[in-house]
Amino acid sequence: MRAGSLVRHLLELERESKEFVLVVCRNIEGEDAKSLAMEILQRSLREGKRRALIHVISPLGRPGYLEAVRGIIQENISLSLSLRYAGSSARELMDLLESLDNPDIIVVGSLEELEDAPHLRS
Amino acid sequence: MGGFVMGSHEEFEVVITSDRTMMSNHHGKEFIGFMTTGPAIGMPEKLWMWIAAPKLKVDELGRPVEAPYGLRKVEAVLQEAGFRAAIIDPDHLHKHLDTMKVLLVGHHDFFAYGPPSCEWWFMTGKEPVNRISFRRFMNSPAVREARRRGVRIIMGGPAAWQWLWAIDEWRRWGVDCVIDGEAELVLPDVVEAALRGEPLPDYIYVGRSDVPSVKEIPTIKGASVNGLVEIMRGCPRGCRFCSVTLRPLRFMPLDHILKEVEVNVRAGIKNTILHSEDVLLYHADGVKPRPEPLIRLHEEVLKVTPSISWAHASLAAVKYAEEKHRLISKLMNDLILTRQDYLGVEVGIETGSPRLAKIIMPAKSLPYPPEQWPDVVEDAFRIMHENHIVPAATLILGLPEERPEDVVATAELLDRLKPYRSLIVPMFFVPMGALKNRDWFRKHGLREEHVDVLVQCLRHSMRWVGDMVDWYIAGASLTPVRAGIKLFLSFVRRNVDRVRPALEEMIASAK
Repeated sequence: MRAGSLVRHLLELERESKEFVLVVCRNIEGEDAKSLAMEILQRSLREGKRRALIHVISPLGRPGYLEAVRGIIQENISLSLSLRYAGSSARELMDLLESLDNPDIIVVGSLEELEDAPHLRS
Repeated sequence: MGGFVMGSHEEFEVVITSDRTMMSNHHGKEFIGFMTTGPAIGMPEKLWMWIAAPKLKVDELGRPVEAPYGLRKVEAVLQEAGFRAAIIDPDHLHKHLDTMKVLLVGHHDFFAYGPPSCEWWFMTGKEPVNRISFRRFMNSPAVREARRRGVRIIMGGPAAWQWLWAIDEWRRWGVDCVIDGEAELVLPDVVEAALRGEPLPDYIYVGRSDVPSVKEIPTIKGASVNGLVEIMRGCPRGCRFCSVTLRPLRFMPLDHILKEVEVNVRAGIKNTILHSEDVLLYHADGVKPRPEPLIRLHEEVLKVTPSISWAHASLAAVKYAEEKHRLISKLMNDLILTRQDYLGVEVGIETGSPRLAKIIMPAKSLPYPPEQWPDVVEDAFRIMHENHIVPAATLILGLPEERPEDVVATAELLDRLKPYRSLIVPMFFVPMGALKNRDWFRKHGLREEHVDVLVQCLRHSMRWVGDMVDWYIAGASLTPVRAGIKLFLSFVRRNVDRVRPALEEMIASAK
């Protein structure tokens, strides 16, 4: 499914959210999870938002990626969160970024681990 | 559109359900429900399940007369939003396969990762029946057929977080979305999107800014299991081990509470359970109970319902209420004991160590200082004993901050509590990362200083439950249940002396 079609079907909860694109290529645990959760919180609050919509690109697939990001989810107690899987490839990442309005991008691991990563270089 | 339409030709596009351990009234005895958190011990699983989680009465469509309160809220929210939604018993889902488009499943403990399930699992090596039952439900022909037909499957309830630790099951059972938190404001939108076939978020966490206000919480349309009704949400004490304290504090208006009690009474439910994390803090002055709202609440509810119980109360509130206002004896003598012989309630001891209490729950003892925590506990137990209130109390062992001397302090407190009618259930702190590691408990969780406390809890509870079972499970119709529970208790009594060596062996084998 094209990332753009995901964006058109936002829930009410997601409409006033700070949007993030999270590229996850490995598990996020311990202090990394705490600092990422804090990062998401601070960036959201800076814009006066109490909600975060996180589009996840991950070669770990769906729902496998949730195991990788659960640390972030469980460190969060303040924001409303919505997580949507948006694909596993570099192309899907590019499509997602084009369809969103300047989201914050967080990369955990290396973009080289995405499917068709060389596409990113072109 | 809205309202609940009774009829025999109802077609439901949204079906709300759970597995048998949740969809049960436990023979009208809430404490028996705790057996669903354990494995079948001393008897076959079928007998254990019959005692712990008998089937509910349903109508021809499979709608139960009483259903879990949380599911009733979900049903009410969706019906008021105009959806054709209903709670359906898990044995009757097949009747709705042709119309069902969305299946909502709620649970308190999907995978037995919560306390005390995980600890019974660790200690016995046997899966608790709630986990077995849920798995059986998800693998049932009706749910498999629903999935095959493309029904959207959405999970929720207090144990929603457990799905993050059950990714294999998530994948295998084709879950579309998991909602964690108070879902009243979010759910209609999610269901609408699901019905339109739109992609759903995989995981939603409802934060503080999106929880419903009191006005936005609907009243239940059908009866709740054993008459449970919510009188407030949230708790001001801020204990570190508790997620409820993260929710904003809200008090349900008396007319809202009474409407729900009346729904239950009309359905023939003969008891009301006032649900709160601390019933005595209903319209309190901070953490200080106020007599007037509590007396009024009990007076008005007892005009409508034959009997009453409390879900939870804090020990500090019990002590303060009685010492400052004689409120416990007033409520019991003037109101409650005129209808019934006792009142059951869950309470938290958690630790007997003032040092540890100051770290993990500094406000639990308020308005008394944490240094007085053991005295607060004993005084509250004495007050409850004198007033025919029977607590089921929890302890938490194995917290990261715990030292051996903290456990010794807990053991000393347990000695002081011997004269007071109660159950005391120890729970172990299990770090998230250890949930699926069956070896963790043996190697890291259980320590030598815990053995005394565990054995004390077992002996204390066995002594008092023997005293209680005849009057708690009274009545000719409950004779088979009473006999089943006594069978279980006699098994435990025969094996009590084996518990200490077994635990010590577990520790020794880990070294």
